[in-house]
Order: sequence, then C-alpha cells, then structure tokens
Amino acid sequence: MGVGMDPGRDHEFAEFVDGRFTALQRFGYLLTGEWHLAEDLVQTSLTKVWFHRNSLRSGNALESYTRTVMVNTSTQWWRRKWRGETPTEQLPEPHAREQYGTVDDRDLLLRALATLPRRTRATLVLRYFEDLPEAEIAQIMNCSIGTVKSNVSRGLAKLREHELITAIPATVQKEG
Amino acid sequence: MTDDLKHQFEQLVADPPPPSGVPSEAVFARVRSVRRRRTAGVVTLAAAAVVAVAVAAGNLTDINSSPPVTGTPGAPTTVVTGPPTTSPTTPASPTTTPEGSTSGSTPATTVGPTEGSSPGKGTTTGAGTTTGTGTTTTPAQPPIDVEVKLTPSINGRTVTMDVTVSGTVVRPTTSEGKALPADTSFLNLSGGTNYTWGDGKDPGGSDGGAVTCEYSKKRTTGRETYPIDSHTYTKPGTYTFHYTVEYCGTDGSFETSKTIKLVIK
Repeated sequence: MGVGMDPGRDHEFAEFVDGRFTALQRFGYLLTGEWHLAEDLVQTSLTKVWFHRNSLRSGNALESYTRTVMVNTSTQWWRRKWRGETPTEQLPEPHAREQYGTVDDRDLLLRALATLPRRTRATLVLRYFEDLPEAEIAQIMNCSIGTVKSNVSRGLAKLREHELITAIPATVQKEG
Repeated sequence: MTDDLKHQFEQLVADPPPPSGVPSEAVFARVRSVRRRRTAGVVTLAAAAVVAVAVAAGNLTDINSSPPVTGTPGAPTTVVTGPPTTSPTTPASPTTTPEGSTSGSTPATTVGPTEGSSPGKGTTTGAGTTTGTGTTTTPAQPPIDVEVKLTPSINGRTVTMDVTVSGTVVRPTTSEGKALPADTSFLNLSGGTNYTWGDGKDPGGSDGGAVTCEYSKKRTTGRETYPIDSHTYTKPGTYTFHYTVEYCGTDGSFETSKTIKLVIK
C-alpha cells in the first residue's frame, strides 16, 4: 500500500524499489562494508528519494538520484561515527600481514576499501563495480570530471599500498 | 578493461542476504514515520506562531500609546459613550486642582468621543451586514490555482525564509476517503513541500499528512505563511532557492513552484 496522493506514482515507485533493491544493497555494501548497514542505508536513502520522486520522471534519473543520496548519506553516517569515537589509553596493534594469512581475498579487499576516504571509495565502486562513465559519476557525486579522475587515481594508489591486494591488474593501475 | 577489479568487487557482493521484508513496504513504513514527525513539527510551529501572534496582539497599542486595543484578561475596559452632559456628582475621592476644578478618581473608564469610533448615542451597528431581498445566487467557483510567495531574510550567510501559500484547491481526503477536519490548515491540505537551497546540500521539505486526491471534490480557498528552517551557506555566491508545493486539483495532484535568487556576501 502506498502513502502518497497519487496511487499510480506510488505503484511505480514500489516497482522500482522491489526491482532494484538487491542491486542497491550490493552498492550499499561496498560503501559501508556491512550487509545490515547496507540495507539500512538503502531504506534510508529510498525514503529520502520518495519525497522527491515527482521531480524524477525516468527510471534512470530515479536510480541515479538514489545513488547520489546513498553516497551522501553514507558520508554523513561516517562523519557522525568519527565524531563519536572515544580515545583509548592503548593504541591497537597495527595490522600485521600474518594476521590475514588465512583470510580470503574478499575480506582483504573490504579492509583495503575501508582505509579509503568515503568519497574516494564511492568513486571507485561507481567506476569499477557499476561500470559508470566518469561523466555520470561526476553527476552522482556532484563534482567535476577532473575530481572523479583524481579520486580514482588516488584510490587505486592507496589500494596498491596494501601489499595484500595483489590482484589489481597493472592495466587498471595505469588508468589512474 | 577493468575486469579483474570488477570481478573482485562482484565476488565481494556475491552472496547478499535476503532483505528482511518486502523492500517497498519497509520503505513506505519509513516514509509514514517521517511524515508523522514532519507533521508534528509543522503543527508545533504553527501552534507556537499562533501563541506568539496572540500575545503580541494582546499588547498592541494604538498610535497614541493608549491601552491595548484588544481585550486581554485584566486589561482595563474602555467604554465609549456620548459626550458627558453633566459633571460627576459623587466622585469617590475628589481631588482639587490648583484651579479649583473637581474630577473623579476613575475618569479613564468614561471618555468622550474618540476619533474613529462610533460617536454620539452609544450604539454601534455592524457595517455592511444588511442583506438584500432574499434571493440567493450561487457564486461562480473560483479557479484552482495556488500562489507561492517567498520572503527571504538574509543575515550574513544565514538565510531565513518565510513562505506564503495561498489560493484555491480541491480539498483532499484521508486515504480511506474521509473528509479532513474542518480546521485543517491550508498548508496541511497539501501533499507535501520540497525545497532546495541551491548549494547541493540535502533538500528539505514538509508534509501535509497521509491524504489523497482520489476522492476529492470540494474546493477550498486559503492562505498560510510559515517559516522554514534557516540555512547557512558555507561560502559567498549567488544561489537559487527552489520551492515546490503539491495540492489537489480537479484531475489529481498538481505542483506549484517558486524560485528566488539569493546573493550571499
């Protein structure tokens, strides 16, 4: 059951949500690193999008705007979390390579992604997971194409610093 | 070209857990929750505004700094009568002036003709209330139209915006088709408002509640002014503020928008 003044538009929006939820959830996972956070992020973002659905006529615009809201919302969450950090007397031990000797590559990549700034991380995901062109990424991230390029370059360089991330091919590294 | 990195990303998200329920229902439940919060916020603001106006009106004075023109509890009552024909005969506490004249102690309650008030005989009748011969003609229905007026107030980089919505719309109903309460404010008859400040920050808006145009027929005319949350720009520039409100028309909902340029120094 919809909640708006126009049942037709509610139906369209519900179809979009149900049809694209899993794809958006995957995108959210790569932004947050946790599945339950990803689901929360998608629902929060779609709630924000619902209030502006009337100005987004096409399905592509709706999905593109949803990704914009997801990036902004995840960045806000990260800032709030950072503000909520409490100092500890003892610093944690630095991660040693041996610790991850048995962890699979998926976890390693996730840890490497977690070290990136939020917008850089989002740019990399949009570029190499969603396969979006730089112009569309710039639109989603509300920045210039030059900023997208520099974010991609910095993000890949940062990933290369992680010795455990060995699978990033040279062809990709050169693109930065 | 980026197949390997893409492959790693895809492996990372290869096994998403199933959503905890029907995604659209979960989103709609959140929308309802947000609407309730926003509606409660608007009602609180409106109530605060009404109280502020009532208090301010109670303390209004006229141009001559006379007592309040509207009666607040405890305020002195002004009685307008004709010109005094005789002097008070038994003043409670007579005081003698140097010139030897005598006056009562409570003269403020009896005054002579006041400029702009009904003079003479002490009776006041309403103006223009006389009706005609009894024949009634149905006036033409006003056209459906909504006007939005934006009144910004800029203080440094902080902008406060007063929004006035006025016009004639079709009165929405609840989603079950029931009529809304008669005292529903004009803003709460809307299906929602959206606004952006033009600097890329998250847009804002409010909502009139869970209403629908599906069963609407009755027209209503109204006007309401309310403030929206102030906004502070991080840097100078010229920004475009965009405001949209949604109301019911004869063929479903329609939107009215207004845009205003803000120059921040």
